[in-house]
Amino acid sequence: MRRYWISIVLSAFIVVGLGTYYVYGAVVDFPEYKILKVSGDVNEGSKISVQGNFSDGGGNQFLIATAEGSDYPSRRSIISQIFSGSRSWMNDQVDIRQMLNDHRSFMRGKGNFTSFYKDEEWIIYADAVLNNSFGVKPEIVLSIDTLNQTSGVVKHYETIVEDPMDYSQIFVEDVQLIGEQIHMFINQRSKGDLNGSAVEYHDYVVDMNNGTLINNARLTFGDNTKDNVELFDRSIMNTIYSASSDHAILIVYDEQKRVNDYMGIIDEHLYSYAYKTGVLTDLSDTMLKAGIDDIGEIRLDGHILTILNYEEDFIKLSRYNIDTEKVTNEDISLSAQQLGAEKIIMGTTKNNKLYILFYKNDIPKVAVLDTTNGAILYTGEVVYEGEASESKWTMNTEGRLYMQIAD
Amino acid sequence: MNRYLKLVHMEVDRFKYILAGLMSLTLICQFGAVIWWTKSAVSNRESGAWNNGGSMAYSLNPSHNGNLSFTEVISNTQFLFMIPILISIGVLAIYVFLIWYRDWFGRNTFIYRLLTLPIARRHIYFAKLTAILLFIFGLVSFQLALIPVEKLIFNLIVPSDMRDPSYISNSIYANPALGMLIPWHFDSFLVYYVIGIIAVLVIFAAILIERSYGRLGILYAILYLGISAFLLLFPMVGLGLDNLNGYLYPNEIFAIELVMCVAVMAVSVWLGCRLISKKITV
Repeated sequence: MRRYWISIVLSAFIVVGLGTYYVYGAVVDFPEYKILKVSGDVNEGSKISVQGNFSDGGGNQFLIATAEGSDYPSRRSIISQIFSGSRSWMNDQVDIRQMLNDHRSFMRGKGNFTSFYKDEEWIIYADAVLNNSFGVKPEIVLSIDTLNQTSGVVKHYETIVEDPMDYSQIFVEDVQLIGEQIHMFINQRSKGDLNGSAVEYHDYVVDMNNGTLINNARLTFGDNTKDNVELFDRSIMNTIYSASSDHAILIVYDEQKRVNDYMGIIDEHLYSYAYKTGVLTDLSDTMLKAGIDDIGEIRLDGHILTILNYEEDFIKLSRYNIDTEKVTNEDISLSAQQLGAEKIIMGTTKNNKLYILFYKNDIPKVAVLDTTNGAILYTGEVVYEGEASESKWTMNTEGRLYMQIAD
Repeated sequence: MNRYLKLVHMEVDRFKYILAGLMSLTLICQFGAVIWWTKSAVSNRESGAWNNGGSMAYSLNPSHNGNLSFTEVISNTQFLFMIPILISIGVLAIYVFLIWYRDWFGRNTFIYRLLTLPIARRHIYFAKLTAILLFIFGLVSFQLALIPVEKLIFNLIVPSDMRDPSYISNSIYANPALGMLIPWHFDSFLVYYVIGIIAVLVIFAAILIERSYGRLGILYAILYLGISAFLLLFPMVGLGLDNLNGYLYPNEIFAIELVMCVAVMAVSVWLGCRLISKKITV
């Protein structure tokens, strides 16, 4: 036996070494941070996750803190990083997640979450493919799949739209069902020109019974004839992508022509497009009259526009009704001092709640307000949960802090 | 079983000096790096140079109070830590081939004696495989054992009022090579090392194909390596894992990848055992 000592010692060394390390790994985790309630209803803080960095000499480690504890994405197992991480955008949307659970077969091969529409009866997936191969007449193929949730019947249509314009890319921004007409709101970008004036928005209307193209409305907005001015745009669709909505929102910026990469915004306009009437309305003046002079971060929930503006020392929320062209409720406006904050980092809205991330004394803090009346429902702070000897660790407020709200 | 263990021991015995050399190199490089960097950092702080921005490396210290942590040492000595790790990986990768070819091309054509032993020839195959795994995991365990000792050395050099606490886990991740070598999650460890084991099995099969079919065998071996690589990589790159409109769901692709791994592994072991038992003659 003595002659085999090298092999025996080596084997024992492996078993003890790896065993100890992974048993130790199973019981000891990384520095634990938590969002702890300071005041209010603890349930209001359960959907908040604060993303930041933990610093321990050897650089920063990205971590996500919630009321449950903390998570280090870079240290997730390789299997979950590769397989759960891929196409994670689908699982991030509550509506898409539900559809994936309920209609796994129908959802196969459908990955563009802005292409979905869902109501009580129908699920529609409408995608657009650009066919502009060399030597082929350019065309856009509208590919539509419908699922009747009551009968389970699935139908597929393909409609070809011939368009002489040579587009470089097209993107489905929104899909809606009005009566028996499917509206596909599509952003089409011309080849070789990246400036805003080369972007078109189309509303393609397709008969859901036979896939026939009923109408192709090109939206005309802004004035691109001005000298030294370029138009840039962005679209705002319903917060829940697959939910029904009567409107699509476009924000169009007049910007100085590019000089040394500097572009100054000269003017900005906010348009509302109504699917039912096909009318594009410039909301800028009516919103200005309603007291909204900065469109900051904007969200659309049905016919309500939520406009959020914040700086380091204040946060202001306005809600504007597109149908009545009036603000609903009073604006919510808070200073950093009122919040007890050294610095406001960000704000976001979801489900009629305003979520604010700020910090004081190097401690990240959160607050939840009711957007209908401005009442503070919850306040909390990110704290280190560990032994007192290790309490020197704090979540680094100098790095980038960010907040996400779960559905 | 007893004969198989004897064969394993024989393979370990033949590699013991190289293994000891690799371990010594790791120990010298890493201990040296920890002692050198920590002593410099401490003297820098004691002399006040740190506060005056005397050294760029120390003035970039992420700690607010200028204290030192073990994680910081690992982070700042990455190159010296990586050298022995990379050399060990390289030596083991070469030895996967040498463990077979040294028997054929060594001084005494040892393979004749091995193949004429009155035991099932598959024992030779499994003994060589086991030996390679013992060398790999032996070096990994040695690296694991070194880290607490290095932390102890750090604690001995740095006065307690100049020290910040640090997690071993965080220290390991301060060096990407260590993070790969000894990932915190056991399933990541399994994934990395099972992929490595499959690679060893495929190479073993390719070597035995080459040994069985002479010159034509080289072509067959390359073909086998190519087919195996294709089967292992295809589910990950060819089935649209990150494709927006991929037809298969990620968990289905994972299942296919798993089946491919098991299939390549099983075929390689079967082929290796069959070739050494039936095809290779002396």
